[in-house]
Amino acid sequence: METLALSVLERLNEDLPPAERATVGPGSVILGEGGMLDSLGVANFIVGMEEGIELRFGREVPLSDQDLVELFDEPSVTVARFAAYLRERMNG
Amino acid sequence: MAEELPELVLISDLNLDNLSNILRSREDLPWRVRTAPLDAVVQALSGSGHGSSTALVWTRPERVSLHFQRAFRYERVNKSDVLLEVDRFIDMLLDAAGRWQRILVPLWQVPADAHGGLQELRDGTGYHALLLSMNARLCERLSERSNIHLLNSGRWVERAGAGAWSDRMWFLTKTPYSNEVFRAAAEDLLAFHTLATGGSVKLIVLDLDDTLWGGVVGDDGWENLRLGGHDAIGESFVDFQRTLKGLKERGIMLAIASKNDREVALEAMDKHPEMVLERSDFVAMRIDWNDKPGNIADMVRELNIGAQSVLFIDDNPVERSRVREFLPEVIVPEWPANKLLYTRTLRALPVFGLEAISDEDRRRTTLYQEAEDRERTRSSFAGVEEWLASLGTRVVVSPLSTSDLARVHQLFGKTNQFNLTTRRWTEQELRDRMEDPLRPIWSFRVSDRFGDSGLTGMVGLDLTDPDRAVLGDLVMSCRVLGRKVEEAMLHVACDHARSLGRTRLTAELIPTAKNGPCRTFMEASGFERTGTNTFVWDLGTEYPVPATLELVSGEMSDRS
Repeated sequence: METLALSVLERLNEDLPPAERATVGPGSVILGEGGMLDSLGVANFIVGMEEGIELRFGREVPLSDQDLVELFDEPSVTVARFAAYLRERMNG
Repeated sequence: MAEELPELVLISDLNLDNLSNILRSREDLPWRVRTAPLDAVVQALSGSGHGSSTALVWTRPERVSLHFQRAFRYERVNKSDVLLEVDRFIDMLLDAAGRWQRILVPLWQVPADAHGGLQELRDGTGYHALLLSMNARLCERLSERSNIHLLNSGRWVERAGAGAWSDRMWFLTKTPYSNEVFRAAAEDLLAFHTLATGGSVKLIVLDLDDTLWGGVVGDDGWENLRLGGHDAIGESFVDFQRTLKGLKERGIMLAIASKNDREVALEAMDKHPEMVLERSDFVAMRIDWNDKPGNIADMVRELNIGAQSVLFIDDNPVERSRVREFLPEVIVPEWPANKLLYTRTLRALPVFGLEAISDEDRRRTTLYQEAEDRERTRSSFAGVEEWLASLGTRVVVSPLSTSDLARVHQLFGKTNQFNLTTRRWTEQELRDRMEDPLRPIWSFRVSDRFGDSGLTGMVGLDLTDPDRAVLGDLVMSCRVLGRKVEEAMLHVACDHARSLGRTRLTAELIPTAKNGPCRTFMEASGFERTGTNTFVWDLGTEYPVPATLELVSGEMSDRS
């Protein structure tokens, strides 16, 4: 899951002006203080993850719901934290 | 100080922030990109101060026409109501056109997988039929304005494939398309810019064996080439040649660079019954065993065009690689190994401007062949002056008129090398200048005993400051360069400024990567250089008409 999140973020990075690109790694903060994504970036990321999960795991996992809003309420959400949340959610 | 880039303003009723990001991710972007507030199309297009800006006006059909929106939701509507709303939108664009350098308008789309039932393409009731009518209306009415360009957004959606539309992004951010669509749009916008600013391909250099015909003529003999007949490969080569012939008819020159025995290759061209292209279709032929980059460089020099205007097509990856290495400006596309894909590959290249075609375009190959004849005579004269005098060059100067407007607009748009300022006047601006005695423009037609080169030059003056006269425009096709036509053009500008009592004519060159030939001419023109890019002629002295040509005043009949 972390690999998928990193590849989605890297693809998003490529579509940004060079000065706005962030370093992407497991510890990168997606949203919150020092986060790499603005609100449009978060939407791009969520949709990219939904599509990626469908493609890789053959499962439809709607992410734009209340749970995710609560996750993003945390002070800072890293790629690793997001991946852990997704694993938990898909296994739960 | 670096020159500020012109502005591209994204005006839309959908969220184009992803497109903006993708455009700005390009380091070669020729614009500063600004996004107008969402859904404020009318406000963003209004007002002044956009003279050098390009607007991309990307709207949704259901937003422009509420009747179409109802039809898309399966309600019955009248087609006339839909088209009335489309006409209002078009009126707004036409009104705005005079205030913008260019307006780009993508055609309207709806998801092709939305099923409209049995009626979807029935005229008057089906929404797909309505959408076709709406887009047809855009094409019909907007074609009249040369600075409004419709963009084929269907190509972007097709390139993005099944994931083109994103309902997820639409409901989350009002972005109906995936980034694949925006990437394709960005590519097309950049290609559009290149073509609109004179970057169109002017010459296609072609290999012969396995490029224009199937097989190796030196080994197989012309009788055994795969060309036409009941053979898929043979048919594909005929199709490819027909497409090239069509491009040639639209003013794009063809040439050959082939490693072959010349006589053997020419015999194939002359004798094979299915050859579509004839010898006379080629402006130059280098059929020998010399290195191709050298041969192409010779042709570029002889034809007096920029290497960036050349497309090289060769089935051999080694030859492509050599040309890329030694002539990096030449466009060398990857070429498919599958010969059935040649025509499609050629047609997918976004390198042909194919603008409104002028007589000069139609005659371009002939014009260059005449130029070759002209050059061939040069060696028989002792000096350049003698040779020039022998040509019998006649230059006809006329004030800009409506009948010349399309050609003049085209020349302003695509001339890069002999261009003092590289200002790209819109057709409307040129029209305005026809009526403005303080900013006159003259066109120049050139002919000699070898043929008629047509309208090949323009001079424009700016006399708005009563204390000075400025040479605002000096533009000439390179195919008449070096025949002193450029000096005749300066004579006309100086003569007019003198007649109005001005004392000096100032030319301020705006340097670009490509207008070196114009700089070289200005440096040798006799004008005094008063600054790095400033040249001045004291109008107390007449600027002479070259003795080697005849300068004639043309008709002033068409000023309406």
